[in-house]
Amino acid sequence: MTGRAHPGTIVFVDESTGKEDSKPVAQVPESVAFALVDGRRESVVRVVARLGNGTRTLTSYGADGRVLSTLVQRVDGKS
Amino acid sequence: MAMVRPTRGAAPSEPETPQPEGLERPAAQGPHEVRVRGPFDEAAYEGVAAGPRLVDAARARLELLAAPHRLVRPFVAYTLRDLSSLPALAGGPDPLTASRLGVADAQAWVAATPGYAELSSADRQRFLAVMGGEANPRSLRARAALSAVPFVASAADLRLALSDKKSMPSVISVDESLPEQHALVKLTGPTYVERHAFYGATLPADVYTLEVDGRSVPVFAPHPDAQGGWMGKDPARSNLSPAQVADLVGRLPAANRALLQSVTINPVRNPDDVYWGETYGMPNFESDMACGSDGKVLLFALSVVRDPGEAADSLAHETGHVWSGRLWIDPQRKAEWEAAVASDGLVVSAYAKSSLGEDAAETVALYSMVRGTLREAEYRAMFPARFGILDQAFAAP
Repeated sequence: MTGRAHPGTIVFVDESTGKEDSKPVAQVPESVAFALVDGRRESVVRVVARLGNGTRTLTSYGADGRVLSTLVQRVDGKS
Repeated sequence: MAMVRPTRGAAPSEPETPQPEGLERPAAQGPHEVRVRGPFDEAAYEGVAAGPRLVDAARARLELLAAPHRLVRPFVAYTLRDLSSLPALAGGPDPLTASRLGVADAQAWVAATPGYAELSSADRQRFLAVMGGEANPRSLRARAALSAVPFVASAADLRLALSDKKSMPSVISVDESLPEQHALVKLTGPTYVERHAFYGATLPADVYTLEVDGRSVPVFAPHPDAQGGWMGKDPARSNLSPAQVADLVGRLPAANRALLQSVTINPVRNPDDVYWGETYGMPNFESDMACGSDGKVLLFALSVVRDPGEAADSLAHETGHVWSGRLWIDPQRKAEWEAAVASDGLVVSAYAKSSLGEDAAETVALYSMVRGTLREAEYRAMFPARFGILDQAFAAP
């Protein structure tokens, strides 16, 4: 695993409301601020939340705009 | 069939045309008002309430077929231009039971709108493709959604109808799913590992190997204790077994499986759920699965029983992200997908609209689900450019 300095802020976008919120990386869990890709620690600079079919999908993007990881969450009521 | 009854006109002078049941034939010349007994949707016929309109019978029949019949209206009055097509009006499917338009009627409906003539040939082709499917749910949705299109739709109305969320699924897995099985996957192992770093807990693990397509994919599972649970297990949570993961992976087409690098059956919930719960004001929601752009899949322990088929459908979508993430390192390949989206002019699902990456993931999921089915050709007619790109990457021999 290689460590990399984070640019400093992460923009969280909620597509269902259009709200954007920028947070200092110090206020975000490390597991959210970085993604492990092929054993490398990549900085996450943008997280976009999208709702669909009882789920919320969080897509984490790197500084170059690439998708680093996706996290599927169950919204209440999904079984 | 609704009864068509003339309300004005003289006795017929040339009774050469057989009369549909329930009709009285008026004079053959000049406009004639007919009443079609309902019930019909009040809102759909709001414009008719002021008086009969001058339409031809084929048009009237289409309106009757397309209208939803939620509210009762005793009759709809039309003034037919002539009576030559009156049998067609009386002879169609019963509008009380025909809740959805057939292909020919839907295409005729669109072609009869004033806006159709103003559409580009590409947009016309898109309408024909979307309305023309017999087997796929998307075409059924699109035809049903026509009831909301104005009878006098402009070209702008029709373009809006093409992209209307009501005419498509919210996500593709609502309409389609992967077949039961694509391949047999052999599960070997396990190898015991005393300390394995799961996501949120370091515990003893069993490492299995999925052997499929000449490849080996590791599966990390919590080591079971004598009670069948595992160390630190939350009794309210469960996860798939290694055998169920093998089944899940076997449902994926070969090209999607090739993108998977490992699967982890996580013994605990995602520790980040607390953070996400606070962020979105929903403390009870939970992470289901995560997929990295490196193809490593993480299945979190859930408070509900995970359905392997549903999980496989999600994985079909996630492997689309893995594929596009790797391919689009080359900007030219990303530009090719953008061009394909513009050329097709239709989206797979409402969710696919949210970004280019989601468009790729949803289209990959659809392609994986319908490849080799009767529905494939219908979807291919809707998304020819994107399916063409996926043919290069995902069409297994």
